[in-house]
Amino acid sequence: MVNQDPQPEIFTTNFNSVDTQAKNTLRNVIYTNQGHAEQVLLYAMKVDGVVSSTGVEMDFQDFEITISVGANNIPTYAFDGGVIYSMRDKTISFACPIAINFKQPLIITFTNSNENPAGATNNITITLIGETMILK
Amino acid sequence: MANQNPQPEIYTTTHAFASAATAGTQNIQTVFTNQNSSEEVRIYSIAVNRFVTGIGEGMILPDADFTARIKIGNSYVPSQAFDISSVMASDSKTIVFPTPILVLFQQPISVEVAWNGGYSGSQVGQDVTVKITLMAELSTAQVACAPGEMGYPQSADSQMRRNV
Repeated sequence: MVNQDPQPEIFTTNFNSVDTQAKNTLRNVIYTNQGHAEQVLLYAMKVDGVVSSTGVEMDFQDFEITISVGANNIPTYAFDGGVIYSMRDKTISFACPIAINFKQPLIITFTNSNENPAGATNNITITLIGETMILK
Repeated sequence: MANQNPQPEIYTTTHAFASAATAGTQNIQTVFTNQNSSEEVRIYSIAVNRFVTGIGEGMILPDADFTARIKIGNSYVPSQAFDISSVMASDSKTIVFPTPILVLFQQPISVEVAWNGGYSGSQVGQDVTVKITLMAELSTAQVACAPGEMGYPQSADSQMRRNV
């Protein structure tokens, strides 16, 4: 439920202790807590990561992210998260906002398909920047 | 098929180059947009990343000379290969097109990445993976049909002619 219309929203989800010596598919659910007459629009996404043991920036860049809204993936395919992490501002803006309606769970899936024998264990943080508003 | 209109799309292709790859080696990947006959995709920007294959970590490859070409259906858009090494080296790792690339129904996107040498070594020297990310949106095409007319695009053409 919004306290103002529109209301900025920043949703952060963490994938902690991701062992890059193995393949991973990890999912986190974000609850938007929106009313039935409210809609969430997501405009941008940030990706950050640190080595779990030291807290320094991780070197790992070969991972992909999927955003699921309700029953559908938006964007349709998994996309490169490493390039977002390697950008200086670690942020991409979507070409148009992702719309989330009432009772549509927002699920972020993290996938890495490589196995680096010397890979570190990393904490990866994904932040979605959006707004909640009352449907007119 | 779009689930919302418009719908953001991000297409990532992965291009692997073996350490023994010689200058001129090319890797081509195809993206299927799964768009409907009444939908179009617009690609606004391209982001490029690279890392050592299998390890997934960044690397220093001296003056790596990679180029990319984007083929939409049967045509290259932009018309020529362009340098992506400078994109990799930039802070944003992204270039934005001055006008979007338009992808219509049944037009596959082919992303062609080539390693052109560019330093004293004649081989890449490391197993390298280049990832190309296309930032796009999928939307329902806006059709200028005359009310009640069937048979787009002919009806749209005739409508435009009348307006002229």
